[in-house]
Amino acid sequence: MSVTPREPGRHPLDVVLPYDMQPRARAATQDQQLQTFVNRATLHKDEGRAAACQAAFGPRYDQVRELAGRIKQHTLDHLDYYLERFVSQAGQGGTRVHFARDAAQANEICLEIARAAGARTCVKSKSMVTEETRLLPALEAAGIETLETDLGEFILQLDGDAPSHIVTPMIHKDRAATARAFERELGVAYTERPEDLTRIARAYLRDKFRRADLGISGGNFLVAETGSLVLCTNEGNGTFSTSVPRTHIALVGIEKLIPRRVDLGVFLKLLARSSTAQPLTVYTHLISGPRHDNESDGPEQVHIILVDNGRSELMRPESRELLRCIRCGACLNACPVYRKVGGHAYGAVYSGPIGAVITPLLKGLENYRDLPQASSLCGACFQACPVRIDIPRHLVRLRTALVDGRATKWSERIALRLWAWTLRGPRRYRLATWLQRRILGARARRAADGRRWIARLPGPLAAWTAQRDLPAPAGESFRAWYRRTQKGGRDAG
Amino acid sequence: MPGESAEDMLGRIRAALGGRTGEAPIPPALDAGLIRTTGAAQLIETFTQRATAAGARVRPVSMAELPEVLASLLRGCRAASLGFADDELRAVARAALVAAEVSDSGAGSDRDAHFESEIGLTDVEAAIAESGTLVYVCSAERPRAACFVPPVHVALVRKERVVADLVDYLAERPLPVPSSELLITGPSKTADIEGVLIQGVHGPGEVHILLVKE
Repeated sequence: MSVTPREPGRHPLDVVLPYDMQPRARAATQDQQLQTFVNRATLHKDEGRAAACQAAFGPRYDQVRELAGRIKQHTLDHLDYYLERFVSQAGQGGTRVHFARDAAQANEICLEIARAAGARTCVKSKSMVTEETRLLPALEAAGIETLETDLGEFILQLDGDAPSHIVTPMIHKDRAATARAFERELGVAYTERPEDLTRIARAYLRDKFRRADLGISGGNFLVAETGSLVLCTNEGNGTFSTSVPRTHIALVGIEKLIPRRVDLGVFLKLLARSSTAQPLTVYTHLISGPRHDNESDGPEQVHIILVDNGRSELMRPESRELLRCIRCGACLNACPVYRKVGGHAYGAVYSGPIGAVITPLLKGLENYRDLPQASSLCGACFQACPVRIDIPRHLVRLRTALVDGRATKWSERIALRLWAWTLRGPRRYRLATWLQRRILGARARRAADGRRWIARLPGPLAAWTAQRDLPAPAGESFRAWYRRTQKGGRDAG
Repeated sequence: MPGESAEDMLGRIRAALGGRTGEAPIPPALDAGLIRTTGAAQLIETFTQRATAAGARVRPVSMAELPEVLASLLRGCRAASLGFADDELRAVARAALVAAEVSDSGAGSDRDAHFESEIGLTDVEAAIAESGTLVYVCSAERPRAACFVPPVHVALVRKERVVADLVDYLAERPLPVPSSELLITGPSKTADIEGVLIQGVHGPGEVHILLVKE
């Protein structure tokens, strides 16, 4: 059976550029499933992550992630050396390494290997890089029946949908959507029980694993010292996909390198705890080449395609730090904006805070002007990051570039200039705050919590209050309050 | 083969780095005390507790009790896959198969055979106390499939194979590394459908760990 999407609707990654985030963000805030489940799930994951890191490392946690960040930064600072070392070591283990400048080359290499191997059927485990290159449609167009084998990705494939979270791809879908997809595409009786749905997928995919001639995976780490590929999954589909078929192809971004085997001790511990609050993923697979002659199973060929696809651009000093990312998803779970708008609102493969900085850099700031603005700069992502990427600093840097490049609206520029003028003198400032108190204060209503709120602002400011209320300004200024209470204090003393 | 050359890719990286970086750079020192989360004390207790927390069923077994325990696990099975580097443990497992009239389906290189197996019986290269993890290293005697294809995995773990921490296992292995090392922490799991935790998606839904003492 060929699994081609039949559910109507465009693929979430087919967006018009420049991308306007508003429609999807607004739709998301009105989507009940998204607002309840995504919010609950991400909060739960965020708390789990914090607890797991504390339980394992206690007060040393900050030092551990500082070390992890330094190792990654060191690797990136010497990426040419570690890449060459990896290629040579992997070659000694019998792995064939290929180099792809962009998405098109990565897919071409993949198809060429598949053709040479005479592959007709393929099982694939979860990989964000293959989402970047849109490998699945390319394989199907070449007549190679391909199945996503991560349960979430499998369900998304049946619906022609795309992942909305790095680690939990179908966080935006519920059991009813899964039940409908299984009934429609697999011809099974409708059931909403997650246990039954999982059993159906298991039986269906088990047969595919058994017969596939090609297995495709991503990779979580590449160890330069040993030429090993490291793959982390909880379901075991990564191990099935890479160990059962005769040919294994891994597509891996060049930033996944780490220097030494022992470095895995740091990164595997942090990755599992940061993404799913586990001490280690259920299946952590170190693959260092094809089967040896005396082994009875395993792939006869292992190919690793090293993918650039814009990463060498990010290697510039000002953005290099962003390539430390180990794709744990902790910043998504911690982000108050992601929790409200979900992954598809970011209009690209990588969502959440890390997506908001790397997407504009990979795809052009002029194409993704909204993304750097989709943050309150609260810093929760920086706190959650196991490799200490200062995401808020990069968001501000991109916002500066937007202003410098005059990519912001003229009304916004005038408003900001007016604001800057106001702040330049105490008298202007006092006048402005007095006006603000008079004008805004008149619109405020006292709410049940005893605080005063403004439900609607006039003119262009209405956009601010369309989604939320604005707290009313205090009745008196800080200076006035200070003068009054200081005087009172002196009298009392 | 399509794609570019290594030199093309390295050229772009070096351009961004501002030239070729030095040979053999020295990575940051790994402070084992910092990353280690488990000490050498109470290894077996820690391993048992963590493996149980991950969903495995752990029980200590003496060599004398082993045939009987295996017989109870093999009851009702028709076929099993074996993966043992340890000669003594392999002999015990083979004898248990014969006694229970279970066929050994993993002997050949037929991949279908492992899919017919109802149980995978293996030893391990190491076990990690910190996370309750089994380390299965493939070899001529240990087919990859035995530990993850059958729906039930029974691992025979000699107590002296248990190390404290992941870093201990990683540091101890001599080079060159084996073609496949699988670190297994509990049964296969998913929470993809509405966060409901379910065991046994693709890999085994049951993992039994028999801690073998002399």
